[in-house]
Amino acid sequence: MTSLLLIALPLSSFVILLFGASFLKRFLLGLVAVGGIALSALYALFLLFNANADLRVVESFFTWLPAMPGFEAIEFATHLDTLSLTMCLVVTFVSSWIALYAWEYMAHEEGLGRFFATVNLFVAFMLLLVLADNLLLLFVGWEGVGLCSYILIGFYFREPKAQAAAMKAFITTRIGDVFLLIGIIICFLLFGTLNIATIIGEAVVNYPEGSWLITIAALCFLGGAVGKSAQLPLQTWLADAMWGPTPVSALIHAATMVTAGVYLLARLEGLFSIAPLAQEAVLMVGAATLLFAGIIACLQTDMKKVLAYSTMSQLGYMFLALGAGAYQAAIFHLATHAFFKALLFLSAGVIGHGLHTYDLRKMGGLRTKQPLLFWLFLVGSLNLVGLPFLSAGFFSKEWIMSHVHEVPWAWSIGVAGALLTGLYTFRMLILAFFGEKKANMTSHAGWVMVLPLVVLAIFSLSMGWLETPSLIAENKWLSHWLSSSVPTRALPAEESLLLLFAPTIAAGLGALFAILVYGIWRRQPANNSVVSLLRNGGGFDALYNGIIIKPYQWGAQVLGNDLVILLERALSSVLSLFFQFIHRLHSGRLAAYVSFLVMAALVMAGSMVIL
Amino acid sequence: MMLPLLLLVLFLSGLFSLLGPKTPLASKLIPIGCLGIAFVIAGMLGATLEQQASATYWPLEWQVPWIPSWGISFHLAIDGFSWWLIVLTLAMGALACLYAKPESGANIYFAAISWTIFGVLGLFMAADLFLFFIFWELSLLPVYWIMLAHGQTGRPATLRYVLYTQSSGLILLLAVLGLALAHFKVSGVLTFDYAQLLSSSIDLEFQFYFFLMFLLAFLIKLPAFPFHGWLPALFQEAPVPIILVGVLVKTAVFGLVRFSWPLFPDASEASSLPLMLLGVLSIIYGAVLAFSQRDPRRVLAYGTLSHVGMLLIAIFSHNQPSFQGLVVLLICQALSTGGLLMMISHLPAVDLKFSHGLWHRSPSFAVAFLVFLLAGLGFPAFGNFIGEWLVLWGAFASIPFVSVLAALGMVLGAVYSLWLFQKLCWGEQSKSPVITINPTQSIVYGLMIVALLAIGFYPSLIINSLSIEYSQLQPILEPLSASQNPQVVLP
Repeated sequence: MTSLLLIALPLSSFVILLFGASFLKRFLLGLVAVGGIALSALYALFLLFNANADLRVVESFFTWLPAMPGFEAIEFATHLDTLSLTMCLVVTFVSSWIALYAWEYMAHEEGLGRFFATVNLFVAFMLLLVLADNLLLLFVGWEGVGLCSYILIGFYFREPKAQAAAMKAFITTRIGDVFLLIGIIICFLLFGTLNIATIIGEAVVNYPEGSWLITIAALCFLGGAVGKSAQLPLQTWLADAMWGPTPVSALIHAATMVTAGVYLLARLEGLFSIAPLAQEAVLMVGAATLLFAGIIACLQTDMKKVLAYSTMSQLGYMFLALGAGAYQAAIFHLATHAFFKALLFLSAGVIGHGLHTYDLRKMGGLRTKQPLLFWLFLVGSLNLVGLPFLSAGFFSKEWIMSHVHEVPWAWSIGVAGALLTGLYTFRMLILAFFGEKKANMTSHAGWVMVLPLVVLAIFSLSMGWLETPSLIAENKWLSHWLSSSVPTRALPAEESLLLLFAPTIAAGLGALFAILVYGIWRRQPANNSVVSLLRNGGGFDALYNGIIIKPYQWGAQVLGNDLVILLERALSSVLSLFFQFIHRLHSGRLAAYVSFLVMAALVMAGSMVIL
Repeated sequence: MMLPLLLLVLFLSGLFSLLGPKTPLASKLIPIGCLGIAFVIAGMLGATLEQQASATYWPLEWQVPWIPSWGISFHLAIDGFSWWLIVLTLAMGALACLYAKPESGANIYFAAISWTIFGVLGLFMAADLFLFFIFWELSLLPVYWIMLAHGQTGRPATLRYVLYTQSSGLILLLAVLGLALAHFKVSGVLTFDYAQLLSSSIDLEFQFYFFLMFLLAFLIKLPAFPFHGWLPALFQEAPVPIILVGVLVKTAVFGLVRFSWPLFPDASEASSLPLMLLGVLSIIYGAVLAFSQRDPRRVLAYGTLSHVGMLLIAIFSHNQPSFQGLVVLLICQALSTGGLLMMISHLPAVDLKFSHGLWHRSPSFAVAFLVFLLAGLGFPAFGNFIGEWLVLWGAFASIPFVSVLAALGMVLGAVYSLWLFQKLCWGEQSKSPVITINPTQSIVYGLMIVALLAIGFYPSLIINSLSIEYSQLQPILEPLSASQNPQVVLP
């Protein structure tokens, strides 16, 4: 029973696909791809059934980097506890259903082998990230998922925009990665080890609250998380990442990879608990992002972009929870979000597959033609909005909000975000499924695509009951299960019905507004400059383009001929002037030569005398 | 006795190549056979190195008098550091031979390769400063010779190469002579022996001047930022197997390690901050310029400049992790950049202003190219990442903000690497050239990738063999102190 098997299964699928893609039939390709991940999911389930709530298995395989005086060796070791097992379950389950869906969705694409190989490599890296026992190994998985995301965003690499989006994603997240690496270096110098458990343990004991060294390290980790989880100000890559195939958007850019930042901060909760400043920063980043992304989602005309911004916004809720110290709530929302957002993306994929567009303005009236799809999409939407009792999204979001309550401003932003969530979700739902029919779906999803949707919907409807507020039921399975790896935090205030349902009421108001405006009045939003600025991602792209990308390209162009050439030219022109001077002395006139001779003799005689 | 034998094998390899059979296959077999023998000898050296307990300064040496009246002897010696460089040089030489496909004058070509390796190996072994200088010059000549033999096309590149390397050689000669004379003045003994000069007690002021001269010679050869004019031209136009250039670059790093801190500790200490900043500048300048080139070879040339910056930081951070990182980086950069250069040699001339869509027709080529690029940009799982991690960590321990700036260079490295990849491999199919790679070449690429991965996952392969016993540099490296002392982080 080793946790390495979790990683090894998708990794071996990757190797088979890498070398066998050109020999294997398309059916076999899919079988290997889905098989690797699904077996890993089954193995994770097996581990779950054999585990109890104080699970903690550390397995060291070999010494990766040898020890140095004052510094421990860095082991190649995995760390299986309840948090990492939870993450493994979410990752492997969601990704096996998505891989199954992709088997049919991608069936006629060229480059199927490349697609499936990368997806398997992605799952392997993601599992390495969550299972890593030390920060450097975590960094390997961290960069690895970034690479896979790059390859998959650039899947349609004939398209220059897809190329640019891939590059943007890799570079933007790598900026965050640099911060993460610096944070890791600081920790290594402070603690002499990279073992996460040891660092957390020693930090709490050896450093006072507010220690600025710890604060800097924590802020660096926050920087890494912000890049990976597409939070302000490094959020710009996520909307463009929608250039990848839809299953990729579902898997990497909604359900799993983008949650790596949340996982990292939850893992390092001990550091943040003694760095209140950094914790405050997490709260602010989360609040700003959830509001910002919510506003922008309301104005998008592309269904995948609405979903992308809503992902950003929901990740903002998770950061809000992290900032408030409610780590378990963040992980719960991470898990429920993974399921319902995958459901939404995959349903959107069915629509896009049939209509060949994700433009909401070209959709409409799909409800009557596609009743099953409508209901599935509705389940996802209601989870996003947080319909009480029936949706997992309600329970997880409510848990977060009840912890945030002690910080009034953050709580109000969270409620405002819920209102926006209701607004953009119902706007999307109405534009796509109600109103007059504008286009016909040319193809319909087979059962291979529908089955994952149904399964994800069932999970989305039911998994919320793992953890419920005491006012509704005394289900505390998740917090009990996680308590050995992530500290439990007592609720700051007595639960009350008003607090419990405030976000839901706000979301309901937003939904009502959307129904009125888009369903009954059929209004289009005004098209002034502010709206178009917001529609284009709030102007961040233009800003970064103006202050970073364009100057860099310009600088590279200007320097392109290399300054050194100028240096060489200057040197060579000085030399040639000198040679010309010498040349001119050879005038051929005897008188000149004689005078030089005399002058030289005088100079030599003079210098002898002086010396 | 094995040290001179190793040199002899390579010298004879050059001689046989020159005078031997002229058919392409036979002329290729001679240097490859000799390199095989050299590998065996190097392996035996490595084994004896591990057992040897160090009685003198060097763990393994061989000395005969040469010009006794001037205190010059033919003194060869190695330690763990030079052993790794020797192995790396032999490996790169073998790759250059395997990959060479000269149309005419194959024997001259292989003789030049053999003699370049001969010169470089001699340089790595020289324990006498005068001998060091001789080998320094010897290692440069064969490349010059091939360039001349090849004719007109590479003229400007040749001229640059000669001007830069010869001025560097001249400065080195002056520095060596000056140092020996200064030592003579102080102690009354004329000697060029490295170990004896180490204990010299010449004036601090003189020390500083000599340090600057050595430094200048090595910076030109590295090349570091303002002295890199010869590198892009050579990469782009030279007919030489540019893999060899990669080896020649390593000689300057070797020189810096041997001649900066051990000989001039005070001067090195005093100038370590400016030199680390120069390293940062090289990283950034190289990465920016790599992004604006239109010829992939020039991109890689500026990429090399960027990598050199990291080496410079490693040398002047001067502590144990950064030294280990330096060696790992030297080996892995040679493999990753070498792999890229070899792969590019399969391509026709391409203009990076346009996309070439290689992935459509040659997916395996594209994947391998991406793998080498990723290794080069310090992607984890490859050895380069281990090297960069060790260097950044070491640099952070000595001067934090240099490390932060160098880490930012990682972003710029990703920019030009991915841009190169996208221009070559992505895009429409229509303009995509067909690339044929024969099985031998695929195996070589595969082995290089395996080596990079092996170092990435098990760097102890290199690091353990460098540990304290037989590396002469170790004792002078500053020990790092961790946890107890938070001031290490920010003074």
